[in-house]
Amino acid sequence: MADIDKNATDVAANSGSGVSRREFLTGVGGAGVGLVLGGALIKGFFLPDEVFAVPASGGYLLVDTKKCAGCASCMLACSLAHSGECNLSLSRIQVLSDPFGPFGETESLVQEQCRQCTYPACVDACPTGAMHADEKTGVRMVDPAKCIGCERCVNACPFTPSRVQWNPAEKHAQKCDLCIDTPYMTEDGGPGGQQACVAVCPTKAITFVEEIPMQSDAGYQVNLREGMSAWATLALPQGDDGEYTGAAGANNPLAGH
Amino acid sequence: MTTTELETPETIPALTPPSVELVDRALRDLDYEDRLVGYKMTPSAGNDRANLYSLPQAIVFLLGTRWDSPMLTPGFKGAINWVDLNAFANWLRDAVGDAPLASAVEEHVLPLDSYYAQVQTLSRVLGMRMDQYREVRGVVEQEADEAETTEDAG
Amino acid sequence: MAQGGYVGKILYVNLTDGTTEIIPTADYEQWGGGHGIGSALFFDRVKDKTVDGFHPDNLITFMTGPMSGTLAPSASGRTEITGIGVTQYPVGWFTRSNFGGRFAGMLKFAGFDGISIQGKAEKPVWINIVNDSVTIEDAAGLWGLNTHETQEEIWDIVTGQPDVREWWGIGGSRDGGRTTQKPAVVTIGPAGENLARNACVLHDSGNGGGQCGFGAVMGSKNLKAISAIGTGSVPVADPAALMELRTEIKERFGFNPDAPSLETPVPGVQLYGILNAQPGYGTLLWPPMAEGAQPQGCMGCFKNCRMNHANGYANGDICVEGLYWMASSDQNENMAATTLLDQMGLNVYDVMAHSYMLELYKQGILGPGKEIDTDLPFDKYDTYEFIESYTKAIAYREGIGDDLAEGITRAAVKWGRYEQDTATGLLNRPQWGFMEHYDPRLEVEWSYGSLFGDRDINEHGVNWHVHWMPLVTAAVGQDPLVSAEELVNLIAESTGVGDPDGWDYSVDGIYSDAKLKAVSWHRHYSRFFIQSALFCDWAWPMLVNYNAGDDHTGATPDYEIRLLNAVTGKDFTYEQAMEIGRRIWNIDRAIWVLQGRHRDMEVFQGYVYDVPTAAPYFLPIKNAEGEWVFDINVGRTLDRERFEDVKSRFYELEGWDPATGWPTRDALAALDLAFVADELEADGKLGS
Repeated sequence: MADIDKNATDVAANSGSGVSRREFLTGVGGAGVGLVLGGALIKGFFLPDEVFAVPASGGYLLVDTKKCAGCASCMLACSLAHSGECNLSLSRIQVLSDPFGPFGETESLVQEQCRQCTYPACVDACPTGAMHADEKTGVRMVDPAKCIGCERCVNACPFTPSRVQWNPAEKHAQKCDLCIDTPYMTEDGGPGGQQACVAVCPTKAITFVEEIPMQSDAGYQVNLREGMSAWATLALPQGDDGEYTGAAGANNPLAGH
Repeated sequence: MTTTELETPETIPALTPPSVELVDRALRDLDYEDRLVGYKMTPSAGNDRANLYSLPQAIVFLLGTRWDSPMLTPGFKGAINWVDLNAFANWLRDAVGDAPLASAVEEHVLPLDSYYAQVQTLSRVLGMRMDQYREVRGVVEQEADEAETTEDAG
Repeated sequence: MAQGGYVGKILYVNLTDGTTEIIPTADYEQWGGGHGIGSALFFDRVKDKTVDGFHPDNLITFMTGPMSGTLAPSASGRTEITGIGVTQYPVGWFTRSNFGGRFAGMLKFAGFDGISIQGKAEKPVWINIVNDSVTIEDAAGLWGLNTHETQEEIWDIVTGQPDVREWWGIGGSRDGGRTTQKPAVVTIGPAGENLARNACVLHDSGNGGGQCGFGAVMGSKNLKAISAIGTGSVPVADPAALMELRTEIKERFGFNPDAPSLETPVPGVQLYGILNAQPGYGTLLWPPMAEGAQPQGCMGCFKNCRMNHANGYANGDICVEGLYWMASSDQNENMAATTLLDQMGLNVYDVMAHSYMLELYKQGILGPGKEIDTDLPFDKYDTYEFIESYTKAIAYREGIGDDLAEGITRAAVKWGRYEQDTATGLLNRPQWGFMEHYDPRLEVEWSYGSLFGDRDINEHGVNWHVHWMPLVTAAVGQDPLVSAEELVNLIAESTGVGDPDGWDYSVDGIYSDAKLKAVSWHRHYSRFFIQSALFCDWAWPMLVNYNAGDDHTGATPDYEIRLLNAVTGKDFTYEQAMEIGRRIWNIDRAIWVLQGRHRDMEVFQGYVYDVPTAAPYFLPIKNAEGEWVFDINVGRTLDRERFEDVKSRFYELEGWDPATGWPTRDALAALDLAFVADELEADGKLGS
């Protein structure tokens, strides 16, 4: 296992695929204020560059909450593929719906998945190396055999709800591994393979990307509808302002009567 | 995506402008016996009878309030709002009292192949006629305004 | 193989003494789930089957199915309710209703396959289920709230959740389980509290169990709501097989929202949604709005037919409730009316009768000081003021609303108009006081099934293909997606009935033996697959597929069985499953007979026989030359004598006595229902 060497002094030499905080900030500098990488702002800021460097994840999940139908199929698939049973609480991806919430308001539909942070606080918090970046793929994941159940990773995750969760049946922490460890899925998972949630999503609101996505404190900037003419044919909005532009303008024939 | 090619008339000749009396009569509310019966056809509920008690109500039923985009309009909700267009033409002539409009519907709308094509063309015929109604009414209202102004001045 | 699907326990609650009991699901698994278990529990536990729906002894059961809460596509989200209904006329038959959402899954995550409720609480209560813990709580603070307010209040009471996004721990320890979800609540509104016979039960925003008045039955038991939240699992016997089936069904039968194989041929005309399963069903009910919307689905759905809207109105409303009132030129008002209906907890199909009342008003029969006296503002029918006052009058039984809360049929009887207006079709209630849904003169598996049953069947699986596909394509000037001949052959093959004449809707075809076999197939299929295994009626059966190019082969019956077996680990065959459906249909029939059902009662209201169809109604017919075509079927009625002959032959086909319509001992014994035959015999109602 490629446990993270938290005391590495030479980032570049230590990790070819890694990215230091300084490199990252330089790289993103032109993209605009407020755009940061997952976890960097919250955790990385307080750390000197040289004490904390983790290889980049080999992939990321992106979720378009304005395309999501809230059916929770991703959650059922996640727990099925990993645990062999359907259980919303064991799902590493969480969809939170307010049935009465108007479309477009943030709390109406929240879909939360692990962001595979550049500076993963969960990995940093783990005292045993159970929470680690996978040697081959860089994916942040749990080695259950090393987990002592202290839940420091659960509490360290800077996001709400925590993307790391306690599995009360198997007594260890767990989180999204991009389906690397899915004993109940025939297809290979992980970067380059199939992710259960992506595979089942009926609206194609979840996608897998290799490049690290831009995000703000509010989350990823994800629009999987843009440029999709079929979505407009469904009379559903492509723009993030929610406006539907496919229909002809209103013109009341009886105006004036 | 395949798009239906509509075989619709390129031009529809203008109708003789209506009189003020015709417009007033045509826009009135009708008695129960003179109603036009349509059907709202929806997947969830099947055919639901709709009684139409005036020309404006029938227009909204057939074309909605998006004049330029019939069948895609508040109130349509993915339904097919169906009226027997032969009966509609007769109703225009006998109950509503606009014979030229009835004839135009018979000539330009009824021969078309699909209901969708018929409704598209109907929207042009009715649109043209409603413009004429509006014009006649506008003149009347303007004259009334002028009369009022004159009175005030006097 | 491992076993899965069921979580093992059915909760029985006696509201009279506040006791609970656990019934092992295993005792009833032979019935499949859902309706079958509800019927069997009713038969076992209600000694006098003739009790009125409002009697405390009436037992209502909320049942899930084996696939509820799993990844089985469009078979995970629905809950079946059974019990004596209060809407039907003249008799409130033992009946059913069904709603979507996430209640079924959440109940199973809490550890229960169903809840069976009997008795009547002394004062208003609600049932609070948090994992294994069941408490009966005081509902004093909830009584009077509308359905949406009640749910928000319960969410707060149960979780005390300050931050909607935070994990919520059950039982104080991490091993008690944690969830981010809201409790799933099924509740009644003011209409149910006031015993309106058209009161529905409601869950989340727009999931209503409407037909048959179970909202009023809950109200009569002083039961305001049932809430469930759980952190447990639904076991799956073969997880990998379920995962593969899910992706296979999605690829082959689902709609690809990024690159669809079949789109509506006329941009903007959103009528193809029901055929190709577009998310939001392609604005089936609500046209695009400038403010936008997104699709919304029940738990585990692979289609997601509903939408949530920017104005917050009509969220999750896709069915008839969306057609409640459309008289305003302001779409926001039309949508607000639907939300008001949901909040009051009323069944749209009954209270949509405002259009019938408008006709009476226009005729001068109804209005202030008229024969039917009301001050409801029918002169302002197209204003929100009208629909608001009308809706609330029913929910609160104010003025004429007191009549209407008895259901429009009983109201029309009281006004002396029922026979007359159902003879002319002014009031189109073909059977048991229920609204006409699909044309009873033409689409006869719908009407025969409803009349030989207990309510409006409301099963669209055949209808989408035989009626909607040819109608929609004709309306937009396209060739049918599938020819009439190919269609009937596909359906004959997919159902296993074999004879395509079963879907001949011609003047003679609707009385043929082949048609009766198709009707019988429909009853048995629905009773097992739709109402017991709880496949969603809007998705299953999949008899024809429009999303795979020229290959129109549907998913039925192969995939239903593969899904069931992957989840349960049992070894169902299609034929066995159909036999369970027949068994459930027969135990239901026996209950109706005990309630007084007789052949003589099974007649339609007059207009079905006497008033010809007036609008085009596309259905396949085999014409005089023996060719299959889609006909518009105008000018059709049902023939009284030929229908009486249909009854005799259908009864015989089902093993019922042609003279009475009562099941025979032989037929029941063959279904392992000798105990049912015994009870019929004791009551002098066994067929011979």
